[in-house]
Amino acid sequence: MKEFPPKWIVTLLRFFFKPELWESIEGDLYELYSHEVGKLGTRRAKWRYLVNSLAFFRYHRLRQYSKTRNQMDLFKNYLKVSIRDIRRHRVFSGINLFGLVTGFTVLLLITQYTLFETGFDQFNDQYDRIYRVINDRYQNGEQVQHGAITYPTIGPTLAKDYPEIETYTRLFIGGRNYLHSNNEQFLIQGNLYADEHFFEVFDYEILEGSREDALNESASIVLSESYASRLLQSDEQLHDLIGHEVIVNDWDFPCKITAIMKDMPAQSHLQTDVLISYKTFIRLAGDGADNSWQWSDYYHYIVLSEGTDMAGFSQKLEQFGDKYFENGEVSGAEEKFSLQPLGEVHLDPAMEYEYATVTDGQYVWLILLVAIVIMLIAWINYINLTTSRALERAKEVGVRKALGAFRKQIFGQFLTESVILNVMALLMSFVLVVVLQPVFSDLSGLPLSLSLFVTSSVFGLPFPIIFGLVFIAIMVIIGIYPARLISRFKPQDVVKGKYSLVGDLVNMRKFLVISQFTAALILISCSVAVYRQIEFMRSQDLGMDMTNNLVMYGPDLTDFDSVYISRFESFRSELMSKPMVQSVTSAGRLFGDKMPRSFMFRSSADPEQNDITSNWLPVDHGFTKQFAIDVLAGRSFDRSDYHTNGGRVNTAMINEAGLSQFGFDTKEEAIGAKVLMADRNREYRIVGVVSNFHQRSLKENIEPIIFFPFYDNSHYISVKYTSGMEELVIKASNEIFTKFYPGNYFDYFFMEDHFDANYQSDEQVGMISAGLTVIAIILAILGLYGLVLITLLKKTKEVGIRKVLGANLAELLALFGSQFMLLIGAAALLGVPISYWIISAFLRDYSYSTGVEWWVILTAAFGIIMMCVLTVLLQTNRITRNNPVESLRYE
Amino acid sequence: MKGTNIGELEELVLLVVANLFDNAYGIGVKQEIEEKCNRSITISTVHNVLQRLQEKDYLESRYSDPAPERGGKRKLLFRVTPSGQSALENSRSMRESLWKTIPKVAFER
Repeated sequence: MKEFPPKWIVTLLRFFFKPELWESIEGDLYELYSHEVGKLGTRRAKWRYLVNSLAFFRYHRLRQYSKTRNQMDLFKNYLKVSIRDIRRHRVFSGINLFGLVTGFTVLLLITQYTLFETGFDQFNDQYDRIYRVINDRYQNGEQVQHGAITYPTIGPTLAKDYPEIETYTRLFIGGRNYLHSNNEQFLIQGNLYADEHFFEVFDYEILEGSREDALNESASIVLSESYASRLLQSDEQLHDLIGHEVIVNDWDFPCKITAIMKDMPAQSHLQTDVLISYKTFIRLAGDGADNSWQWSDYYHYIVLSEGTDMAGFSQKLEQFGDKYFENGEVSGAEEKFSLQPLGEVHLDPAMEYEYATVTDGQYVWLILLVAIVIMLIAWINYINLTTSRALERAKEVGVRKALGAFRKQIFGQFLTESVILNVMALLMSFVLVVVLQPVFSDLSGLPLSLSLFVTSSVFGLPFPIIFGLVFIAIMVIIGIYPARLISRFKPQDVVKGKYSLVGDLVNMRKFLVISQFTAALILISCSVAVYRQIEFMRSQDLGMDMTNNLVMYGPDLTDFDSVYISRFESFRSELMSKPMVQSVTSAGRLFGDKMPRSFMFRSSADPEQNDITSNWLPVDHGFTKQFAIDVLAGRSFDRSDYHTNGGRVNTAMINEAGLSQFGFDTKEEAIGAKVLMADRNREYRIVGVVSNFHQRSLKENIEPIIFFPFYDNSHYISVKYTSGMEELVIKASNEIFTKFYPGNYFDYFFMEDHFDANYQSDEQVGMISAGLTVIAIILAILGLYGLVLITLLKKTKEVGIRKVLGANLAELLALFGSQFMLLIGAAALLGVPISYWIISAFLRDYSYSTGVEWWVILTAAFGIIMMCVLTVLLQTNRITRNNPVESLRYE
Repeated sequence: MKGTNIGELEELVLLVVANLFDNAYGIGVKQEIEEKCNRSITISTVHNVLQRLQEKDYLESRYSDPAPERGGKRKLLFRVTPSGQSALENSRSMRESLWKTIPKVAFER
């Protein structure tokens, strides 16, 4: 229980009121509070106490009762002088204010972004105790997978073996499905199959129906509010849907709606409108979905009981894989299991087979760092400009001191000035943030809102408090430095005109300018490097040609029956009869997608029959031709390879990268060899070897792939068309698709767009960092401009005299410009190696990169130097070109 | 200071202090006003008016003994001074004379 009334209130009251009133005020407030506790409850009474206390502070009363009337007057004087000073020096105040406002605005917007990205899943009560089970797989000592998927038995077995696990939930990710309600059909864009513990682990809000029983039974279905409202008949309410029966796809049993949940929050790593009970999935897929140690597409989350020692538990978990998987005998790979805290799921891009929406956490922190750097540049400008002008204020300080001001008071005065400027800037940037909010949300593509500031918490404290504390702390720090310096002037020296800048001030300023420009240089070279890397990846030959490919979803509502392939062939030839269509093909995955993988391949070239890990990809006979992938040996698939009964398919192709994996020394050796899928007991004869291509972005290596000649009603259909004929090809595809596959949705997109989604986050980061870099450079240059201006103003007379004595423009420029150029030179020397280091660290993540390009860094350094030269030149030029008579008259 | 006139709220508080006699402190005055006049008033306003009246010399104050319900704090008790009394009387007689000279037709409809 905290002390009541809070001490600070009492202190505040006592500071402002005469001692003889203290008891009366405090007593009355307390009495009122104790009355109101009974009537309104403690919480509201406390709140009222606060309001009542603050109501005591009225302007005229402060004047009447303040025991420190003198201080108030002095404070008013400080304010007046500060405001006069701000108005008199419009250029400097402008630079300061502009810098601070920009800095705060950027910082606030980026903070909002950071809060959004780092606050995922925190709406869960058990947030700190929820972990996702992740699964690493090894073969022959090498890691072959680091993934979020694992076997359906893992959750239940873990829960049985380890009492620390309070509860767990098991998920399977559904694909596109169709829901039929009241003879209407609705598309499900990916549902989740979730077991009965789902709502014990996650706190998604239930609006209608029972939370406890929602997913208990087979054929139970939970809908999101927005999805459910689309199902409503005109006179129905949401709760009327509870118990309503719907049909999903062509399942031979109806599903019952058991609950309606609120739409999943934007900050949830799981996103779906439809949850179907896991038991339904077992019914559809077979008991393996419940008890297989080989099926491996399942996601598990566990809740550890409070106070579990994580380190100890992780250690125990290491035994688990060996115990149940017998060193790879069971699943073809050695299995290791570990836990990923829920808070990391959204920020870890390294996980394979990730279902969650993921942002690279490194990027998020990087962007925040850049925003902080911008804020620092603005603050450095403030410190530099204020201290440089200290001499101007020296006389004021001298007079004040001569009139009896203490050093402490002078100190207070200058601190006040810093506070005024900072608070003003902060208020203005709040307004700006409100204005820019929609633009920023639009740019980032995230549902950001100002309420994030209020609702977020950092280190367990509400964000506004943290922000306020940091703001005050920094404001005081940056105010203290100039204030200390200025308050140190001695009146006798000032009056005699014998004052000069203290040595450490000059050094400090040099240091600050150097760090500003070092930071600016690093920002420029890094954002150019990011841009170059993205360009590089875009311009690389991917080993295939996916341009001008329209993709449609397969006819997944049409049965895959004995006539499926022949129907597809007629569909293909009818499409190809259209003039703008060049070819048509269907494949299980698209470029840019992760392919399915098996750990239990074996090769006839390996006498020991070791398990081999490889991707596999079902394609049809048009694949290699349509995407311009070379067949290096043997042949591509042809029609004879296909069969509607998958068990009778017995041919395969392999890519170049797979040759050594499967033990073939040459391409020719592979032809005719056998590939075995041990877990399915099938054998395939290799008929062709195809050239390597980049299945995914250039971030990834080229991996081994085995191609199988399979068709399926869920396979994507790609249509290669003549460039520029997009509209026609969409129309034709729609018509012919609907004609051959009535009842299916026609939905399309373009292959290139799909592939480019892989680069989206890089591009986003590139864009944001480019924008921030421009801002940082503007601020740094502005600061330099101010500094040059001050220095030259002080030397106006000197310039005049030198000119009278015959100095020419170039000499003056050299004299005054050189000190700044030295600083910038030092910044360049410092910035270049740091940039090199950062860029090489960034590029290490990419399998295919430009390498560190020296010219980028050097050009950036050169650019910065040129910009500074220009700034100095313009300023110096202006003053030195003045008529010496005028500058000598200058006072 | 704006002369020795008293405002409407000041008059009200002065009357309430006179009414309460020996229990006229902040909360007491506040509650009395809320009960008798059916208007709400904040404690800070009450204090404000009491202080102003004391400065005008219409009220005098002393501290009571410490009271437990106030967290051990004493009450600042107010009492109307003779000049306060005459200010009240002035105001009253001024009103009454004004009332008396209202012509009867003024309120007729």
